[in-house]
Amino acid sequence: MIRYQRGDRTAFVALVQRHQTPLYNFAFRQLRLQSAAEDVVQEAFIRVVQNAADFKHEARFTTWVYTITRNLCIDQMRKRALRKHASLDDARGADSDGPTLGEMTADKRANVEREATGDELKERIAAAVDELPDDQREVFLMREVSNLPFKEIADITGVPENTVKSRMRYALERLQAALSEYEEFARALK
Amino acid sequence: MDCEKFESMLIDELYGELDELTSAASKRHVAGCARCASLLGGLKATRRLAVLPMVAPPADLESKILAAEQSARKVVPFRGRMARAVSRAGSWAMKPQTQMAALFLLMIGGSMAFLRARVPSSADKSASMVVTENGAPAATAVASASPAGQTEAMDLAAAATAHGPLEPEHARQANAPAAIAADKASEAQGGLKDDELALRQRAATSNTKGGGLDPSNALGPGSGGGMLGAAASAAPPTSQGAPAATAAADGAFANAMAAYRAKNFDEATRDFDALAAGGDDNSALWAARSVRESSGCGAAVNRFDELSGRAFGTQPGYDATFESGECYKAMGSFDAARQRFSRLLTVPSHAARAQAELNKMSPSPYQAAPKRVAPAPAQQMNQSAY
Repeated sequence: MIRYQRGDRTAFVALVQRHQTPLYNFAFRQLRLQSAAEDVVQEAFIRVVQNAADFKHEARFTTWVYTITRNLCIDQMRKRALRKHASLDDARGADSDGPTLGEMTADKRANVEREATGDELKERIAAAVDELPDDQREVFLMREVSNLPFKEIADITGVPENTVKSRMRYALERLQAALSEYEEFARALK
Repeated sequence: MDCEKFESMLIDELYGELDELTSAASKRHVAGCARCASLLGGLKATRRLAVLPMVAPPADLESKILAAEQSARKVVPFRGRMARAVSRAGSWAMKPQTQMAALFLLMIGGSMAFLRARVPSSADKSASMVVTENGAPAATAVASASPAGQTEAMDLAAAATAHGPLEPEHARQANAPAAIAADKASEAQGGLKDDELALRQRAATSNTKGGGLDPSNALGPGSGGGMLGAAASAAPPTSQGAPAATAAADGAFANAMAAYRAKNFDEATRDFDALAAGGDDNSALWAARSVRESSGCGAAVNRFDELSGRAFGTQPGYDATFESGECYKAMGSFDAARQRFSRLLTVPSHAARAQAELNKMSPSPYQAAPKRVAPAPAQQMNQSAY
């Protein structure tokens, strides 16, 4: 970011390449729409460009860009007023013949054991995450998808670190309950 | 570690964010507590199970972002551009090379400010300030003493300067009184001695005679940093004629003045007489003064009179007339003195002083004697009755 502030545009390219995937996944899991997530990520980087001169390096760039993305996601969700997300089984695309959200979120690198459980487990996981309250889901996504430390998540969300950890625990307990029928399978996973 | 404390750090243990010591303590607790072990194991299993795969962003997302960045850079608000420029300048300024260069330039610039020679402007030259022996600025002295006669004298000097060389006789009448008046003004401020005035008189006179005014000659050897009057210094050189002869004459004059100051009046008289033989009225005046100092007014008054009669109309002539009057006054010849002072009443540069001398002198016996008053008729009648 310092290099970009000095006018090095290649530094911005490097920033985009490094952060676009986790940001996109965070926005996608929050908004559940590919196009909306794409717009949010693009807008987040434009905000970075517009406010690059004001960035004081008092916080990490990751914290800053996630704060922007989170706020944009909240705006999007407010615009939708009521979170009417499509079903994981709804087909995507203009002709409704595209892959389902469950298929899109399926881990291509899933191991043999997980493949054995079939698509049902993938759908259940995605649905369970989707059912989490917003404050717990965003903490879960930042920790599990973006691999951010709790301290940084606290900075992004503007709540104490212990609150973040509590939300994380509640999220895990909810997921545990939602996926209870796979508990034995899960305990067998290494 | 008890169960309550373990639960408070359950998430940290789950994500490996505890330090080694606390983590070991929690592991010992879990090993001995089935409930906490089940709790931790359940959350660990959920973490392993609830893995969300990373979704690859659209392939064109990066290009879209970079295109948007290009257009966004073009419309960066002025404040943002300024902040970016300041940031860039700041990053340059923070470089040690820049700091060293700035320090070096500052040192050089500061030195130049102190070492730069001050070139006087034309206005400065016209109002040049020369310091006297006493440290009083000459320009201030001339400006501050402003009787009407001095103003006139300065005007004459300015006119002489502005119009260049005058005809000798006119120049003598314009420049010389101007210089003298300016000097008198300075003298009024307590600045000058008679001999310095004499040197300046001589400088002014020699200037009108066609020789350029040489400040070193005008100052004389004994005056040691004496003041060069504003009128004299402002007078432009008129020609380069006979500089060597002028220098020699000035040297002889300075020697004579040195003898005069040393109270070697006989030697001074000889030297001034030699110079006066060449037609220098100023030297003749000083020769008379030397005689007065050595032999008294009786011996000098004829010299003053002779010079007064010969050079009345010039500065030395006026001075000789005035000093002749002073001598006659000292000798008790008040009528003769009054006659000489009266001649100067029409000379602007000497009128005030001459009038003051006339006022100081006691009236003549004819004017002072009270008139006899005729006795009253009644008294006459009474006297006749007796």
